[in-house]
Amino acid sequence: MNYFFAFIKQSFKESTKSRVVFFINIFGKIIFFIINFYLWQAIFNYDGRGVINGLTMEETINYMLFVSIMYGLLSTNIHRIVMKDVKNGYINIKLLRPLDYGLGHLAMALGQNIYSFFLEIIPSLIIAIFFFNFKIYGIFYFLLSFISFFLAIILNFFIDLNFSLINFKFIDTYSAVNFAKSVFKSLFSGEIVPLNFFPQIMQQIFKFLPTTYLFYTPIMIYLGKLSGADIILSFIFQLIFIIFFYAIYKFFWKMLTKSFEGVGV
Amino acid sequence: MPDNIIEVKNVSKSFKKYKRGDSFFDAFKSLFHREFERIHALKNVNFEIKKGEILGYLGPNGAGKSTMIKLMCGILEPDSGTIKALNYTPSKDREKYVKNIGAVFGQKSNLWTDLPAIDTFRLNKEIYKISEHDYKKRLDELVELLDVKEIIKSPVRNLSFGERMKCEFIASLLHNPKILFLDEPTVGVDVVAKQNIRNFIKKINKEFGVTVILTTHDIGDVESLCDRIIILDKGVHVYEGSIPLLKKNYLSYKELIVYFEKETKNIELPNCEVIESEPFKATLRVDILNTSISQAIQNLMEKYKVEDLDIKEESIESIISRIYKSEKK
Repeated sequence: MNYFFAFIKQSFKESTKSRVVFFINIFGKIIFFIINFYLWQAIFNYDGRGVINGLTMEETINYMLFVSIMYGLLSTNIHRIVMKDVKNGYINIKLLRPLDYGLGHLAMALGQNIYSFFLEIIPSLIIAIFFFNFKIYGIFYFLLSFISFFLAIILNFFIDLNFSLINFKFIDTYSAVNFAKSVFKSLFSGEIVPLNFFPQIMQQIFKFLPTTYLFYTPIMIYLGKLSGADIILSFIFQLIFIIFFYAIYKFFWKMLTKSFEGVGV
Repeated sequence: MPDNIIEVKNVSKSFKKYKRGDSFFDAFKSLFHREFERIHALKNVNFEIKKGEILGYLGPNGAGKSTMIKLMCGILEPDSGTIKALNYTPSKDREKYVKNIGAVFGQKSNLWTDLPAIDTFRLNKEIYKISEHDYKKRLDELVELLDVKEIIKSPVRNLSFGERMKCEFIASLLHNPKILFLDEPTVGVDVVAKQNIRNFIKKINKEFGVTVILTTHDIGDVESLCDRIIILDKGVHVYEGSIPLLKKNYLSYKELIVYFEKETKNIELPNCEVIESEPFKATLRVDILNTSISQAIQNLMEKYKVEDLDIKEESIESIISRIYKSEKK
């Protein structure tokens, strides 16, 4: 497992090379904050009710602010990496290393996330608290939500990794697959609106969808909406989904690398 | 098989290759229906590689060299036939097997371009589970041999190509591999660096006992390095043996450069072809399959007044290109 940490370290080092990215990211976040802050205020004022689908205006705004803060952690570029590797033949070199392709890239993604945590999440959290009234409902819930987010990052990585294997069979699918996938994911993960806004029947289905555990569950934990038992159950669900998607990846990886031809690369 | 480090038996490999017309309609049609043909990259290939040798694996572009290298590395699986390397079946035991091999593909970098090479080396230390002591010792040796003490500390993208190649070599040798695969290691490298790299390959072969398998288009590499060469064309081995043997078996002519005492025209000699003719000088190609060079010189001396004489052998490059061409008929 040592190599795993070595990869994290390496990737962290690599992320620090660009300072411009840092400022652009923070600037982007602030725009997101402003949009969500005023949009949801307008929605609630128009509606007139104090509570929509079980969330108050303040909770809904904080929900959306938290989404904006954490957004960067839950997006991967694994699809592009696999595409490049397959297209340019770098996959050949990576296959020459005695390690698991997916785990290596997971470690790299985590390394980037550590970088993002310090230079993106914490600064934007501070901005949100001071300028957008971002409220912490309880330090305990807040910390638990970070554990949930941590598992969500891994789960999200393995979901994306599975999609990225399409590259082995069909090249240049980056924009198409990514578009379809992100529409589905952003809708059903609670990234665009909290999942409470969906009809009751769909909410029952959501419990068994992996996407629910990406944004919705961690943020519900942060808002203090889940009981202790529900929180533990959600962690278990996340772990099960992680193992599930890892197993699928392993299966397809074996099959695809076997039939991979890589001519001319 | 204690001597043979790799054994390849009856290996064949084919690929699908999609065909598509160039008209707009063809492009549209290819969305729904695609035609393909099977390309037979390797046909029933057999050979062994002995422990501690430097093998040159040659062939024109598209001959199947890279495919064979990938098969031996375990990246690809043969359609039929077996490959045994270090008692592993590369494609089946890939993760265990690749710990024992190193590879430098001239066109593809193993290094993290934005970081100094030393960072990649440290990462490799963890990937290959090299102990701190072994890592230090090995790194010092390799850095010494290649003289790159300062180079490994600056980001790879700022290095010249030759410097980068040297770092590639270190990265691929840190874990003390038993076999080293080199795919065109000197392509795009200047003359001095080329010489350094060749000397380095010789040294690691002699001192560390690494078996080297080398593909290249540079005949200089072959002549200065390889104990044995295999020439591959259209997926079939067309020659296997040492370079002296290649010369002995395939050398078909020698060239005589003759300087005459006086102006000489219309030279005619049996089994000799005039390639170039100037008033006081001529280049003759002697067909040594039908006559000996001494016989040709004798004939020449008897007929003409010769002042000086040079004998040139056909170059290895020309022999190999002849082998490539003859196979295509």
